[in-house]
Amino acid sequence: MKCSKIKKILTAYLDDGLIVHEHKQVENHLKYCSLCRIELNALSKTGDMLDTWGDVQPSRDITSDVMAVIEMEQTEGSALGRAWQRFTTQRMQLARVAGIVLLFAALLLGMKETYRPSAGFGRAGMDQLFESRVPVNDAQSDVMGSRDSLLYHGVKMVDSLRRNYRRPNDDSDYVIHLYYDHETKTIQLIGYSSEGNQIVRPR
Amino acid sequence: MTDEDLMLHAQRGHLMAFEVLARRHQVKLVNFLNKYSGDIATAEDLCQQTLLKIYKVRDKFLGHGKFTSWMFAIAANLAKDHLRKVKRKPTVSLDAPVGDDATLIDFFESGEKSSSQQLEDRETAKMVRMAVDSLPDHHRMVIILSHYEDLNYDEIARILKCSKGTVKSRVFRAKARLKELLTDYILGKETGENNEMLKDKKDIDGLSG
Repeated sequence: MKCSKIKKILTAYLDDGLIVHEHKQVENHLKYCSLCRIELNALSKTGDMLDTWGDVQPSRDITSDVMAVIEMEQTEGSALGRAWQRFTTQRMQLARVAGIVLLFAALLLGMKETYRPSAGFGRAGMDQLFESRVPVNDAQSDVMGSRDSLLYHGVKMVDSLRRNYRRPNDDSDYVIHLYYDHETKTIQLIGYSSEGNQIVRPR
Repeated sequence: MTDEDLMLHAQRGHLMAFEVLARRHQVKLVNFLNKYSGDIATAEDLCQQTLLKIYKVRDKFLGHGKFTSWMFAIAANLAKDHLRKVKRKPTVSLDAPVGDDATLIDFFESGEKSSSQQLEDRETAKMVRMAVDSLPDHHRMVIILSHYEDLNYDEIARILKCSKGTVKSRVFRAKARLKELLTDYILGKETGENNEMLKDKKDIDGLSG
């Protein structure tokens, strides 16, 4: 192979981008051609120089921003998400507050499991949901704060309930009861209620 | 857990899997986009757009190839669109002043050295950055993918939706141009060997010309 042809594939030779046959041809050529060896050396040094342009660190945590956008879009896009927002902001009705107080009181008193899934709510599926524990890592807690973490996972669980267990044409609001375990740093669903349904499970 | 496994979980609606995946690749993406766009703020914005797009079209990842190839394809398309919109010109011209009244060409030719190695490395990095920045968009893209992201020619061809031969040719042209731009600088740094190597280089140029 002539020098002019070898020169054109020296870059691919350095990048290991040649087929075995071509690779061998270049190797054999370099054994006796000092000019191509110099060319190879110059290309190799160019590669070394390119390495001096190192990596930079982003000035912000882009993933957190991305997750916040996704979460916001999901919340805005979900009727249940809107219901959750209403519940947690301006329309916190006394009855609901009382319901939660009663629920926690019942839990503290060691109430036995109350479990009344209506038709359309698979018990096995609900069991799985109750058993799940969502880990909250330190970085996330720091960024979101524990209240926001609860809200974030709460919305996710409501969505999960809606997707998997909601009956058709059911527009009722959902209230969910979460427990954040500071020791294990996990969030667990301990109860959930909607109009006509109340499912409570003691920790 | 591999990227592909995480993507599978993300497709099933596990937001946390996607978060892990995004966090794993955000720095890599920012650096790829920074080298292509030449601006860190633009790179960060494009990285955010890329991650959001990946989430939105996650069901389109079929798991046949590597996740990173798919990710770079999305990032490359967004970056190309962005540069097309802003009608990007090379940030630094080779004739533009680098500092004082010296031009980049003067700088290459002078072979001036800094007193400390660190400063010298920074200067070299600056030279490299300007040289890469001066390449046409499609040449810059293949250099970044092949050299900085260490992707093989097959992967680059898949990302850019072109043939392996096209990739090989673009890398060759881009490296040849970079060598041309940077060789004098390299030679200027190597005391003792300068004259001999310059002579060799001229001989090669003479033969090949």
